[in-house]
Amino acid sequence: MQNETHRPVPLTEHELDRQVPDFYPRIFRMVRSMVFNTGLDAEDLTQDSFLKVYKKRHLYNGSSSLYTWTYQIARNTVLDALRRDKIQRRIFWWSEAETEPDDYRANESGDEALDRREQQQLLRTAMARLADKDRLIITMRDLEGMSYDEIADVENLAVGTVKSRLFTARQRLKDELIKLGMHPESEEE
Amino acid sequence: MDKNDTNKRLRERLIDAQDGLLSRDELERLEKEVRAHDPQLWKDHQWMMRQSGEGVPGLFAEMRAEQPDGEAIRRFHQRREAEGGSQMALEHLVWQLFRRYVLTVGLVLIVLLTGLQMGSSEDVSASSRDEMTRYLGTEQQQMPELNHWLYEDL
Repeated sequence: MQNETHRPVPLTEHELDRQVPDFYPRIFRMVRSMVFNTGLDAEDLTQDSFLKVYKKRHLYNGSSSLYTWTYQIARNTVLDALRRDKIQRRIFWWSEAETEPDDYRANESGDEALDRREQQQLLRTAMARLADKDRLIITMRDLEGMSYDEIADVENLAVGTVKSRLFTARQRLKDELIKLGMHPESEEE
Repeated sequence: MDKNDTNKRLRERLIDAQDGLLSRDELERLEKEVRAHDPQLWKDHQWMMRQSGEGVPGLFAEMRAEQPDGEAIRRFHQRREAEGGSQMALEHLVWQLFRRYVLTVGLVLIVLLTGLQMGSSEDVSASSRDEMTRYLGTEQQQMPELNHWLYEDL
C-alpha cells in the first residue's frame, strides 16, 4: 500500500508554500510539546522538519494526506533529535546537572485548586516525564485533535492499537500528574 | 481470548466511551466488565473523564491555543532560501571545479600521450637505423653521402 503511487504529478514547491502557513503552527505545537524541558529548540526542529519536507517532496505519493505525511517527517525528526539528545546526556553525564529537566511541583500545601498557570506548568512537566511514544500519542490526540485514522497512518498501527495505547499513555500521564502533586480529585465512583 | 487481548479490547472500548460513542446500555455493560476485569482501569477511566469537564483533551486547551510568533514562518522561508542558495552555490562550485579538473586532466593526458607517442617513434627510428646499418654492412661505410641522405629521411 505504501509503495503504491497514487499521485502522478510530483508535489511542487508552490503547493507546499501554500500549505506551510496552515501546517507550521500545528507542527510547531507538536514539536514544542515533545521537546519541553529537554534543551532542544522547538523552532529549529520545526524548521528542520519543513526543510526535509521540501527536500523530499518528490517522494510524496499521495497515499496519505499531505498533513499526515508532513507530520510523519516531523515526528521522525523530533524522535531522532530526542534520541541523540539522550545519547549525548549519557556520554556527557557530568554536565547533566545543567541540562536536567526543570521539574515543577505543585504547591505542597496542595488543598487549594491549582490556578491555571500552575496547572499548565504541571502538565508540561508531567508530559516531559513520559516516554517519547506516550508523549507523542497524547500530543497527537489530545493536543492536536488528530483522528485515530490519522494517528494510525503516522504511527503505522491499527486504529484499535492506537486507542489502547492512548488509554495507557493517559494512565501514565495521570500517574505523573499525581506524583507531581496534582490533586487526584475525588476517587469516588 | 487471553488476558492481554481482553486488556487491549477494554482499553479501546474505554476510549470509545471517553469519545462519547457508547450508548447508556453499552456503557453499563462495559463498566461491569471492566470492574470485573480490573477495577483500577475503571477508576483511571473516571479520572480521565473528569479533567476540565472535557476529559484529558480539556487539560490541553491552553497549550492548543498557543501559536508560534508571527515571524516564525518568515524565518523558516529565510532559512530555506539561505540553505537552498548556499547549496546551489556549493553545487556550482563543485561543477566548476569538476569542469576545470576534467579540462586540466584532459590536457595533461593529451600532452603525456603525445609525448609517449613521440618517444616510441624515436625508438622505432633508432631500431630501424640499427637494422639498416646491419643490412647495408660495409657498403654503408663506403657510401657516406647515401647514408646521410637515408638517415635524414628517416
